[in-house]
Formats: sequence, C-alpha cells, structure tokens
Amino acid sequence: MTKAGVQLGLFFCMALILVASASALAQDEPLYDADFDIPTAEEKHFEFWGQAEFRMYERLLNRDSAVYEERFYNSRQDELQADLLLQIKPEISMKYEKFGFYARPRADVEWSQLPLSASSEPDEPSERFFKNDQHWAGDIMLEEGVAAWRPDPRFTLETGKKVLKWGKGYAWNPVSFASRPKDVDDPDQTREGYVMGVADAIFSFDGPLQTLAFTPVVVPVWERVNTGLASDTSVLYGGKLYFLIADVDMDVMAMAGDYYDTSLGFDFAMNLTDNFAIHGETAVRLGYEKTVLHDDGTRSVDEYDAWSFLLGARYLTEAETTYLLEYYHNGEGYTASQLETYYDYVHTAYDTYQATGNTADLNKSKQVSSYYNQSSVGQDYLYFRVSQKEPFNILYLNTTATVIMNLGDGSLSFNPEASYMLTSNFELRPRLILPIGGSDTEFGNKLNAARGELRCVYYF
Amino acid sequence: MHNVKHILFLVAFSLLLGCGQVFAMDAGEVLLAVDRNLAPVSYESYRKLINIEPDGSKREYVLYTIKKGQDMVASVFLKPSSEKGRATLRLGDNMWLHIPSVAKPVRITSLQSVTGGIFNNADIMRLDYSVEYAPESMEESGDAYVLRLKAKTNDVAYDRLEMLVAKDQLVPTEIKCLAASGMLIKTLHFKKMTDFGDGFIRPAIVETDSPLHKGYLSVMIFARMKARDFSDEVFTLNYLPRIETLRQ
Repeated sequence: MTKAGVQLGLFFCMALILVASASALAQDEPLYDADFDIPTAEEKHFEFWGQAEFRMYERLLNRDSAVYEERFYNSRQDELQADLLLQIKPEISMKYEKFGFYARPRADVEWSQLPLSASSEPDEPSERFFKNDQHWAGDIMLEEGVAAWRPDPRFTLETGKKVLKWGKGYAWNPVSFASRPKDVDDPDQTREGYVMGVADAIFSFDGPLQTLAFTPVVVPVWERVNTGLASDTSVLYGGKLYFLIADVDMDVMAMAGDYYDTSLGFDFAMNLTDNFAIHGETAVRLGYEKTVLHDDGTRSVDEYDAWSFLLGARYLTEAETTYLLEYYHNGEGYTASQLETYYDYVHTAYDTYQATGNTADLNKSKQVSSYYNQSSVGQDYLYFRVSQKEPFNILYLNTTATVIMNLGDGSLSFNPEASYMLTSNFELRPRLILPIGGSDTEFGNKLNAARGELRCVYYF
Repeated sequence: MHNVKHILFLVAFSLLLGCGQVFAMDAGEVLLAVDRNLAPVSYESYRKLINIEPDGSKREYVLYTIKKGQDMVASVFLKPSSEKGRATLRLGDNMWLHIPSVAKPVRITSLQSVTGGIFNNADIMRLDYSVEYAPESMEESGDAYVLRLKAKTNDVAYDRLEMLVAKDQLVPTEIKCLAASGMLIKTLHFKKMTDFGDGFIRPAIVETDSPLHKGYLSVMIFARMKARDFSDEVFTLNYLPRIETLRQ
C-alpha cells in the first residue's frame, strides 16, 4: 500500500468518524420532546390565563366632520393626534364536580392627546379612575363572571354577567337582543356581558332533526346594572330555540319586558358546498321609537316596527383565501337623506358659530348627536372582507382587508390589517382605518380622516 | 387412533381455515381493522401538535379530543394561552369553530389549517378512514399491505390516500395524501407503538411532512387515548363552548 493510499484511507476513516459523530450528536438531540404533561385532575380545578395588550394609535383628524365641529367648535385641535391604551384581561376558571365558575375582568388605562369626551359610568361591578381628567381614562370592570351548574350534559344553568352570542352574522347581529352591539370595525373584540340567568337544555335525535336546544333567559335592569337595555327598572324575559335540521342551523328567538321593545328574530346558517357557506338573520323590534332631526332644527319621534335583516356568504379557496360578504338592512337606522339633513344642519350651525359666536343651533344638534353619531347608523350596509392565511408562505401571518360601505350614501371605510404571531404567546396586529366619503355622508363625517394602530398582545 | 387422526385432521383444517382468513382479508377488512386499531369507536384523547420550522424553531399546541361513533368529533385547545378554549365540532361533513369570548360558532371547512403549518381541520378532526374513503386496490409488499383509497365524496380534504399497513399489527406505518391530480400533498409517518392501557396499542407519534412546505415538519403525539362513551348532546353547538368541562 502506498503512503498516499494510507493517507487516503486515514482521511476516509476520519471522515466516517466525523459523520458518525455528527449523526450520534443528532440522535442525542431529538427534534422534539415526545412526552408532554397533562394537568392532573387536582390542577384542573383552577385555571388562570389571559392577555395583556398595548395599543398605540396615531390619527389624522377630520376637522370638517360633524363630530369634530360639535365637540371642538371652540377649541381647535391639532390634525395629528396620538393615543395609548394598556388593557389587561385575565381569565379565571374553576370547576368542582358539577359546578363551574368563569370570570374575565378587564382593566384599561388610556392616554389620549385629544381631550376625551364625557362618557357614562360603566355597568357594575366596576371602578372608574381619572374621572375628571381630560387626557387620562381608566377603569376596572367585569366583562364576564358566570357561575354554572351542569348536572347533566343535556342541561346547564348559569347566572351572572354573560355575553350571549345570538345570531349568525359576522359584523352585525340584529337578533342579539340581550348583547351589547359589536364594534363593526372590530367584530372579534370581546365585549362586556349583561347580568342574567340562563338555562340551556339540549336534545339530540336520530333523523332529519338532529339537535333541538332551548335557551331561556331572564335579564334584570336596574340602576347601573344592564344600563341601556331597558329604559327603566325592569325584568326582561326571552329565549332561543335552536334546531339542527338536515345540516342547517336555525334559531328562533324572542325577548320582551317592561320598558323594552318586544323583539322577535330568526337566523340560519348552512353549507352549500364544503367551502361555501351562507347565513342570515332577521329581527323585528315592535314599537321602536326613532328620534329624527329636521332641517329647521326641530325634532320628532317616529314610532314603527323596525325590521332588520342580514344575508351573508363565506367562501374559502384552496389557497386559504376567505371571502366574507354580508348585506345588512338596519331597520332602526336613518335613511341617507335623514343623515344628510343632520350633517348639513351641523355644518351650517358650525358656520353660524364661526360667524356670530351663537351656539344655539349647535346645542340643538348635540341633543341628538348620540343617536346620529353611533356606529352603523344608516339603513343599508355592505361588509366585504378578504382574509389570506399565511401569504407568501409566511407562517403565523394573516392579512385581511375589509370594506364597510353605507349603500345609502356610497361612503365607506377601508380597513387593511395584519396579524402575526411572533411567538406562541406574542402577537402583533397593525391596522389602518380609512373612512372615505363626502361632507354629507356617514363615513365622511367620522372624527378620524385616517387612523393607524399597532396592537401588541401578550398571552399568559 | 382413529379419533386422534380425526382430531388432528380437524385441528389442521381449523388452522388452515384460520390462516386462510388472515390471507384472505380483503382491502375493506384491512381498512376496518386499521380504524379499530388506531382508535376505539368512542374515545377521549390528548394530543400535542408540534410545528417544526426549517430553522429548528418550534410551536406546540395541546388538544383534548372526544369522538363518538362514526361521525361525531369535538376538540378543544388547552395550550398555548393564545389558543385556549378554541373548540371545533364535526358532525359528518359539517364543521363549526368556536372562539371563546369572541363570537358564536361559525361554520368552517375541512381544508382550513388550524394552527398554521401543515395540519388542517381534516387532520385534527379526522373520522374513521373507512367512513370517508373506499378501497380501490390492495397489494402485498413484503411485510406490509399497500392500500389505495379513494374519497367517497368531494367534501374530503384529500382525494386519494396510499396507505402502507403493517401486516402483523394492522396499523399504518405511512400514509400518502394525494390531490385529485395525483399531486402529493403530505405524507404521514406513524411511529412509536405504545400501549395506552387495556391492551390498546397504536403508534403514539404521527410525523407529517409536505412537499408544499419544504423543510417544515408537523408532529402529532397522542396520550391518554382511552375508550369513553358520551351522550349525543355533547356533540352539539350549544355544548361546544363547554367541551373542556368533560375532562376527568
């Protein structure tokens, strides 16, 4: 054997040893841990988790909007404004045999460069801070707190503060009689519940009717409990019947009581194909009273049975693009001409104040501003949302673009947003809200001409 | 002596008949055996899902799952906190997703991915293979059967499956999931035969890779799988937010 051959042999031996060592090392470090801990029965009795969120807003004010002119007619504000919000939402769950308890308190601390408008006290139990501060706001409140008794899978009894999730619509739920309205700009955000007693009885069958469920509710209203649900102290009674018939979800619901407009509703959801689903809901509110401002500054109250309905469809492509389209007719809303009358009246009243210093007309408009400046104040809306899961194969990233259009006046809000799970417990959510419309339209009269926000959410 | 011959003949005949039955198992019988060897008809189980990225970083999820009969499955995420309480219900071809404290259950499809990564709803909420697939052919390849399966309807996530089944234990060792075009979507590798108690033995680990997600690996690890009966009412939209309360 030549010297070169020996050297070559040694080289190959060394290479083999190195390869073997590398593979041995690789075997010493498995890709994943094949064992995992499952909480024992004792640990399961009490669970604590939640989220802490820090939001930064930057907004460009629309100083020609009716809202701005009513609020800041005598104190001109800078066009560019910043806001900061820290929100903590712990969740507590306890279970003992057939009894359970769930609570989700919420603590908010907010700083706003723009002077904050006065707002009503939150429902009990709650505590408000910085009550007389123009730039700081804070409160601790209970979003949900429910005690439950589950003697059998077929029956549940719950009492406490609870969010009832009635309806099939994504952006709006006209049949959600005992829930606070969703924020149409952020329908997935958690909401504060109402204090109530709820029972739930479920029955399963063989045949076309697969499931029948009855959910009666009792909702008391007094002082700072369930504020706004009824116009005076009252006890409301309602219920929901759910059917799963031939793969179609259907609900019939009703709610009635003193100082409350009796409401009836129906909803449905079904798949037409595996990746195409439709849903809808309709509700009637009997004897609804709508306050209307006329162009001479006088007010009238129209009383009628308000009929609302929603139709929607959700379509998923193979590339995991989800299209969601909803049409919503809000029977309690204002027509395009009624909104135009109000906006024109405010703009004229503001011009009058600028010219003469007279606030009489502005004061008249402010008396109805809480009706006219609420979300989804119009009668006909289109909601179109496109979501792309993991675009460009970027794992844990979701991108969404939403258009909310008032079909009455053609104004709209365009909201592009993204959500990225940086780690299993840390999420970043940048978002833009861009209202677009003329001076006599709903979205043309939003306080913000544009709003950018970044949410940083830590889950614990 | 004559009796002994009779007895020997009967024993030999019985053995031959028994062996014959083993050898004569058709594709449908193998598929049914695979289903029963992977899970009891009605059961509860815990699963850890791990997404492993090309750079080695990992995301882990823990699920509690219950199943009853041929077409009822429900799952709820226990970990991480960002997913906790997210529950999915499947009744045949219908699937609903419940996100706690956000909205009511919405209808979803089997194609949608659950956690990001390779797993989709069909993987998490899988019914018995024999419910969704019909055997097209079966071959023998050494110590394994090669089962070729075709989806019974268009509502199934994968149009065809190629299942490699160990002859001795009648459990899958590998499943190739194919699109209608024949394109390979993902491959499942079954590993680590584990005794879950009561003589129930099945692979505890299913590794999944996909040519569509090169370099990514998704792992599903089973624990505490055991037979348990539930009432039908548990598999309803009204009960979905309360699935976690069934844990014992």
